[in-house]
Amino acid sequence: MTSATGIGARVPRTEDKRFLTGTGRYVDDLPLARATYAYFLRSPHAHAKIKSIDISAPPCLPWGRKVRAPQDRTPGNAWEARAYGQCNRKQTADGPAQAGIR
Amino acid sequence: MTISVAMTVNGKSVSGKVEARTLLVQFLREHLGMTGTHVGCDTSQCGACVVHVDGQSVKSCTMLAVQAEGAKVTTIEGLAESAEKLHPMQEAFRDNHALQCGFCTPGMVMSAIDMVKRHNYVLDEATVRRELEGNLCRCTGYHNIVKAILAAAPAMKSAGV
Repeated sequence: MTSATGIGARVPRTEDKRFLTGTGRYVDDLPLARATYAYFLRSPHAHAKIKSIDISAPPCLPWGRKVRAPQDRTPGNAWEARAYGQCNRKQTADGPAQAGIR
Repeated sequence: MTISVAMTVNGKSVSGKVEARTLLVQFLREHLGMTGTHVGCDTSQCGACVVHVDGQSVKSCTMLAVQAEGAKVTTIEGLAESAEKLHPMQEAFRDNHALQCGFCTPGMVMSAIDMVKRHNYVLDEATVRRELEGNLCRCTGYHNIVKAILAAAPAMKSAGV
């Protein structure tokens, strides 16, 4: 029961309409020009030694973009993937569709 | 290699050239710029990407764009009759406070409409809760979503949608 003062009154949310009609804006929806996307390649194995990582740039990467991997590996010491989904390589690309496991 | 693909999205003929691996949700979001359909998990679990393909609800991250060749696709953007007149399911979600952040909402609404139709507009709470197993909400909680769907079922029937 709504009192004359408005205390306890139902206040319809003004943001609901855009969320309900697909016109909300989330970070993933923003078309950012010249944005670079990072893609984290995740291990398909629960526990495995990574002997090498191929970071040669795929031909579709535009000038200036790089594929990066940690370079602090000491000789003879393989990195280890210790859990399913652990990040072990970062790849940059110009769009979400471009970054992917190759 | 690119493949030409053509389909109807929300009543409009659309076409594009896509890589064979392009998912339907990528085609909608990245090629057509229709960002109402969301990608929550990328692994077919969360249901934020549900659309209707030829009248059936589909997780659009689980289907290739080329598989929808020639199909009639409906997304959350295509539900409301006009800016003023929402679909009864959208109205019910608003009336029952069935959303907060709104991220899962497009998929929830699309799944819910399909659910109501498959059950011939007659649903009970246990059925709704069971049927919602493919849609995850991380903030509102399911209680008001269930209430909204139960309210929308008769409203959809009387509205003839």
